[in-house]
Amino acid sequence: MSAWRVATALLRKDLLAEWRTKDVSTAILLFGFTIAVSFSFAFEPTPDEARVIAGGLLWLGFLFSAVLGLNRGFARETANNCLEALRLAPADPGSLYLGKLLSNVLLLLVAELVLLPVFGLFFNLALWSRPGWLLLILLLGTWGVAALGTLFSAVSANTRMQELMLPLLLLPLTVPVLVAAVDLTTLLLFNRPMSEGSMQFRLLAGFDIIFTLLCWLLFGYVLEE
Amino acid sequence: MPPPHTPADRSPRIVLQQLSKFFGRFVALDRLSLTFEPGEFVVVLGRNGAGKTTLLRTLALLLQPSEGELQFDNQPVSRLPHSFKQRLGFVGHEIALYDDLTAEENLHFFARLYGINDGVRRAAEVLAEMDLADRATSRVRNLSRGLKQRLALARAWLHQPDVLLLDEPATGLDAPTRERMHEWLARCHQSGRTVIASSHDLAESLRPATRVLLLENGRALFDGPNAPGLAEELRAKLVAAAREGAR
Repeated sequence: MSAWRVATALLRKDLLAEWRTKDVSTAILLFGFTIAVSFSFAFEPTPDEARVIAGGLLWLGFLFSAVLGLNRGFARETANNCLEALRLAPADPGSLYLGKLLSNVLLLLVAELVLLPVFGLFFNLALWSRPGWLLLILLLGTWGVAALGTLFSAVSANTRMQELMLPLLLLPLTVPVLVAAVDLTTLLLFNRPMSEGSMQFRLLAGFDIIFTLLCWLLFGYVLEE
Repeated sequence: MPPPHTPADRSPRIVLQQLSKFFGRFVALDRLSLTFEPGEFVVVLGRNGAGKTTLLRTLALLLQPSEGELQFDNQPVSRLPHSFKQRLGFVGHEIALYDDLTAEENLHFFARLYGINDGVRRAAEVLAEMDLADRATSRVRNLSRGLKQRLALARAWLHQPDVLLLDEPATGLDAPTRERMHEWLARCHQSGRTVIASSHDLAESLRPATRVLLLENGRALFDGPNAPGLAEELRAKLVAAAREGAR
């Protein structure tokens, strides 16, 4: 059976369940909104200061919100031991990983697109001056976080300290993604040529490819009891 | 309605060779050597912790043996492709269904996962077979325990597996539904499928079985064909084992 068929089945199922419950999106949006408000009142930056720090704050907000969303997203598989039914299926574990990854990327991206205007409003930022580049940075950064997050949410689902384990595993390893995405977002906010960030783009793309392949290969081991 | 196709010779021969399963220091299965011939209806009995669930989960390829070997049609499980799982159906202690999806949505999802071409039609068929057609659009979280269990059986039956592995399938079912489940299992068996089911209810579970396996401390205390009067013998063995365990 094709990996794509399995992956899209899982994607459809996750999106349908999310449409019904709004579990993941509510968690991400509320947490992201709280972070935007908190940072805005804590720093009270001038417009120039805002452009310097906004990239970092934006991605920290996205990353912490993503941790919450990834945890809740995988909780759906552990309820009623649905994970067991996935393990029983005649599907390559890599295709199950691909399905979960796609649904995580999609949900995180949608939440980020909703949160962007909130950050823009509180920090008085012109984020949409170059929408194509912004979307590319969002996609590459989110894919990197989700690639590792999907694997680690499966790892942490089998542990007693599930809520704690995911950030402990994920945050240190996503530092390269965070640094590169922050640099690129700052370039965007300062209206600098994006060619100055070619190194960061390559880093993000390389990270995404390597960790997607690695996690795809390792997912079967993680699913084993 | 008789279960469609799958002739008897399609069911695999299952062989366990000196198979052990450890959880830390706990020995769940202890050098178990068994052969399940195609088309057998085996009831696995035993006290709590005897190894019934571990045996069924190992046969469902959810657990890997710690020692020894498990073979399907002379193929060690390590050499079986993922697609082999298509031939196994398993219902465990938990229903393994998504609470926020409806009964039919759950089955449509699993139909896609199992590569069933006309999944919508097949899901409707299975729901009707399990007397769940009128609850097709109910969300799983709103179903009673018994209905959830029937839906779990429907999930395991959706892809018409050659081997049905059922861990205490009568859990949560009322008496008439248990009766219908036994009739359904008998039909599955008559169509040539291998059925291996664990149970606590000695008298009821023995009725459709062709073979009985009694486990104690991960070993086979009794393994033989079902026969009249066997229930009493097994009950005596279970009581003796419980007394031995209490010492």
